[in-house]
Amino acid sequence: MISIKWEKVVIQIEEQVIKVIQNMRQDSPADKESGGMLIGSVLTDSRDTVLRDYTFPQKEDFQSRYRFIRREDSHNALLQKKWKESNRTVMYLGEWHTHPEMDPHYSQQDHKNWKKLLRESKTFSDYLVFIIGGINIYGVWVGNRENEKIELVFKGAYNK
Amino acid sequence: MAEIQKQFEEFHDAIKLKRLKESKGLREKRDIITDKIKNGVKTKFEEKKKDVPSLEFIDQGSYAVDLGIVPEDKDYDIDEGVIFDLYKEDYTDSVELKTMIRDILENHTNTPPKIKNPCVTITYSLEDEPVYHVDLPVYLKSKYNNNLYLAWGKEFANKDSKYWDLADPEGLNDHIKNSFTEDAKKQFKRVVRYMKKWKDVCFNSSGNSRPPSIGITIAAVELFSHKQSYNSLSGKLKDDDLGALKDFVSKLKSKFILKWDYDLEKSFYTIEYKLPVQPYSNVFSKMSNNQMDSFYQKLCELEDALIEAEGKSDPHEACNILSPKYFGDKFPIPESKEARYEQVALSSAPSSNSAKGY
Repeated sequence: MISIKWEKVVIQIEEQVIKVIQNMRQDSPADKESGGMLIGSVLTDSRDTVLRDYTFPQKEDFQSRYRFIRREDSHNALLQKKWKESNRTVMYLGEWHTHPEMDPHYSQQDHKNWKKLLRESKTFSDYLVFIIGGINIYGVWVGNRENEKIELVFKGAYNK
Repeated sequence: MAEIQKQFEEFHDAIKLKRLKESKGLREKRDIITDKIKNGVKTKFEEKKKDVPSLEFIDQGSYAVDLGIVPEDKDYDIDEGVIFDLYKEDYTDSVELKTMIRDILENHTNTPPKIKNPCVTITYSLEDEPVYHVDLPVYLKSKYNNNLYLAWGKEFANKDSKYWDLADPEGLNDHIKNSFTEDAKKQFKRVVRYMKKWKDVCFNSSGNSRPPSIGITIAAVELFSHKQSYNSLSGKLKDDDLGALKDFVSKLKSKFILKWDYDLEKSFYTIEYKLPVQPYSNVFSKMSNNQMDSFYQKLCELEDALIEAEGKSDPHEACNILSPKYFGDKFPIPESKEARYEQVALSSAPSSNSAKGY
């Protein structure tokens, strides 16, 4: 698990979330981009956010070497299922995808997409978390839904 | 990774046995016995018109090295070595002085003292339940070297089963006590106590199916390494008992050797560990191949459980794996994280379109 302090909140990212990104990273030339939702909860006592679940590519999604399109319906249906199973404690908290580069940077398209998600997603968090999984390193960005400002908050290597 | 250092430390506080010097009651009992032995030996030697030898006592066992745990059956165990300033060459019968000590303490307790192979045992009972016992190994010196010799044997055993066995109780205490310092030493003690508790919980107490504590301790002196984890929020390193325990279990497993048993036509995982002091004997020698193999299998299960617990992010789930199955019910289980999450309405997100730019 990693803990990230951003503004006044602490965001915890559980190991299994990083693990799924690590497993889908594009470390061989034929690997396609993958992605999905980041799902999590808020702790009642500390108000910390915990990223503890995710969705991964579904058959309706589009995957190529340099592009990933996550469709709306199948992932929202998964989110609803997870929400019910968690006793209504999980919600949409952001997005992850992979890049075929060692140290990941967001593209113009990624940035535009993240802003759209900040604007159009219906969730109870004031911010969203975006993770890009590179080959050696993954990066974590946080976007403020109020002003749509996006900043890098963490970069690190995967656990072995 | 599960954050359960707090639970490990609470568990440790619950099973830790106070040091003898902190436990007034037991210390007094020990002093009563040592005084009685001193006076009794004086009388016995005077009766025989022989020079009264001087006596020394040495604290031994888990109390002496501060590695004790509260016994499951409430039968506390004190080991107190009795060193006679006499030469083994003058005592061909190794059981003679043990018999003398037995006779001196004959009416000291309701349960009569018993001569066992390595010691004389004094049992204190309360309403017929043993509440603690004092084991008294007896040592003599030699005319020809500076070693101590343990009086081995039972009262009516034949000559071959009674002998003087080279021993170094003080060297063993020092070996254990001086193995680590500061925070590493504290974690070492905790890890040994966790292993002892695991042993009590997961092994049958009969015979030699439980690996001996001294074996675990000696192995830990060699194999233990201090583990800490970095807390990225506080920027500090803190002790990681789960990691240290897992590391020790995995190293201990690697000391087992697969051995073929020709009689049983089966292979077994076996382990040998030499005492680091005289007589350098194998500390696991009393265990049979079957028992050692079961010891190995149980270590594998423990390692799997520790790895599984480590992978859980919810301390509730992590502790649920370890308690009570592996460490007993003294290992606390915190409230479920699920119960600590806020309930929210259903959320949703539009489609997402990402692409790597050139």
